[in-house]
Amino acid sequence: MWGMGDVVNGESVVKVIDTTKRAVIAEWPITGGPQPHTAGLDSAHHRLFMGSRLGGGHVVDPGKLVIINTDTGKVVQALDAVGGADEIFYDAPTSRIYFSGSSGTLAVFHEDDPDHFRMLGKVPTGSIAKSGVWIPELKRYYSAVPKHLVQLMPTTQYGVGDWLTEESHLMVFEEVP
Amino acid sequence: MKRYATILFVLCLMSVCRASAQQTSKPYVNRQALMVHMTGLLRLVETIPIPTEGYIDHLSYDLKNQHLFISGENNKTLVVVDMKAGKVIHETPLGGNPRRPFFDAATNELWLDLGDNTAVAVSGTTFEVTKTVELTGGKNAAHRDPDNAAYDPVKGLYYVGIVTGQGNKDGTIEIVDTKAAKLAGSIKMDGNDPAGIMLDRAANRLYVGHGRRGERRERRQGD
Repeated sequence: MWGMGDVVNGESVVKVIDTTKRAVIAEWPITGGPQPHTAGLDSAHHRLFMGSRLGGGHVVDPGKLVIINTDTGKVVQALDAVGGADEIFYDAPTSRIYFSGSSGTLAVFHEDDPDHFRMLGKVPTGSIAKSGVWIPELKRYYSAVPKHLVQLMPTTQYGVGDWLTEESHLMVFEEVP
Repeated sequence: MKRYATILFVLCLMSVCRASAQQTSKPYVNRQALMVHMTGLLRLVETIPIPTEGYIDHLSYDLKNQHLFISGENNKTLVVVDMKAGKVIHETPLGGNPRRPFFDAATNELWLDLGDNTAVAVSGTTFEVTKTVELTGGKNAAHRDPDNAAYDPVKGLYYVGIVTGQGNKDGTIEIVDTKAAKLAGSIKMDGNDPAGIMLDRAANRLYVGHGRRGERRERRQGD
């Protein structure tokens, strides 16, 4: 298991840097998101999205989406997401949040209003496909799936040594309105 | 003698049976997300083979030329995909593991941070490295590992989070002036894992996720 982000004491925080002063000016607790690893932003509604991992690994499901009000620094909501959080993209025209991680799916959330968010569903991508990019101009999501082995479930026909190799590839998705 | 041999045989048999029982009783751990019903969110329209082995990190794109840039983290390469043709058109070898790229259409440059504690510019035309900026501590500095980043296209500033080892407090946000191709500043973060970096240009803020006192293990490939 890949180790990362183990917060062993205290809570995780967002450190707010004033880019003009080039200094940390505030710290906000990320309640419910112990291992922040990725972030997104709805700048119009002043909402910060922190993607957090849980349990110290890439493949521990679920992860967390923590929504923070950037006017107050307070947590608005913390929702289950996918494990191994690595990318968050906010798409303003559809009020959708795309949240990808290593555990094999891309979670899609909807911002009903700035204080209410919900998961619409999870789109299967690939194992360890943590990285991707939402291209709003094309309304497409590109998910990068690394080369990996698929272990077949041991049965009377298959043993521990039976696996498939899935080569690296991109999966290209189009938005369905 | 025959009696001892019989006892030894029985003991061996018991040992084999116990080992076998342990193997079959080991619970199966499902580390994959459970599949859930999903419809009408995204439609798979294409798959494109890419030549990377091992971990892949972040992506960026050049919309005008329909180029997608992929950080082949494990391979230490930048992979360029023609999105229109649906195929890889170039691989650029890099000195370190690439992490978080940003393409700037105004300058036709892709900036990305590498695991050797540098940030580099890659030409959007030739895909070759054209500029290199050493981050605080210099190239290959010990315990300094660039990871997450953010980019301000208006000011041409590239903010890079430096992960340091467990128990350290010397993680930083490095500020690279991409117009001058030089290190413009370094902000101390009083911790070792600045992650989840997001620029809020309207508010002149940079948000950086962080564990307060805790500290993560050494960064590993694939984080």
